[in-house]
Amino acid sequence: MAESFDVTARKFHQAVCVALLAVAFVIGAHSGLWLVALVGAVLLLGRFWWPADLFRQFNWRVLEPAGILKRREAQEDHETRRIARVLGGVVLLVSAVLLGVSLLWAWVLVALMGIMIFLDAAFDF
Amino acid sequence: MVERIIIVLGLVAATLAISFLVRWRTRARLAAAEGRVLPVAVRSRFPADAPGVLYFYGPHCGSCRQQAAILDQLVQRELTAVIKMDAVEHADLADAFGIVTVPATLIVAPGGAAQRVNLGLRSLPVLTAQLREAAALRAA
Repeated sequence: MAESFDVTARKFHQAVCVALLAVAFVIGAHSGLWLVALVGAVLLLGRFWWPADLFRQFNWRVLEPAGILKRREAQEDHETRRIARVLGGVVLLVSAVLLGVSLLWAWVLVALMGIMIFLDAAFDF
Repeated sequence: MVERIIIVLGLVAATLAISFLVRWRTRARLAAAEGRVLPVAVRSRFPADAPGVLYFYGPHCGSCRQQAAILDQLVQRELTAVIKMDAVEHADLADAFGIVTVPATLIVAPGGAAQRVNLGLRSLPVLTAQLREAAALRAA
């Protein structure tokens, strides 16, 4: 049976991920790599332990109760997204390490992850 | 920093432009597919006087399992004919109806024309409403 999920929480999580990755690029590798690592960690750890999904938790504990965002339920396939977030989390963590050793081409990986998250958030791609 | 902001904005703009182009093209293909009559070998498997569902799935598609379960419920509740086809084995037919992803469901009107093409998972209420719309159009 198809499961019901909070679409609002997912899209907020994705929007924050994209925003943080964009900010990370703008501020540069020296400081930005920590934002990349944060997003990677949230993606990876949050897949297995919900409390680690900081962005969704913020949405559920602050934004939705305050009425700033409205919960919207939909039946979705989360199996594909769960796999994607594990892969994305790993790629971002690896990218953060590469940026830490000044391999700036890792920004290409970060951009690819950001674009994929953006497309899923905006168009359910 | 300014040039980095420009790069980010440029990437966003390019991504949006390509996405809208792809969605526009997909919508155009789906609109062209709606109303197209199924080949006789396929439409003969549907009842002549009631709508049905033609379902395309993929061999390693996770959401296809969910869609198949929803369609099983649909069969039990609405007594609707559902024909399932592997989109890879029937690639020509899938392509003719604008199927670019699976799961995909076609609402087949009585008479064998595709009334609605759905790309992606669709819930039981959505499919039920589409079938009833197809049945009502026929009655009208």
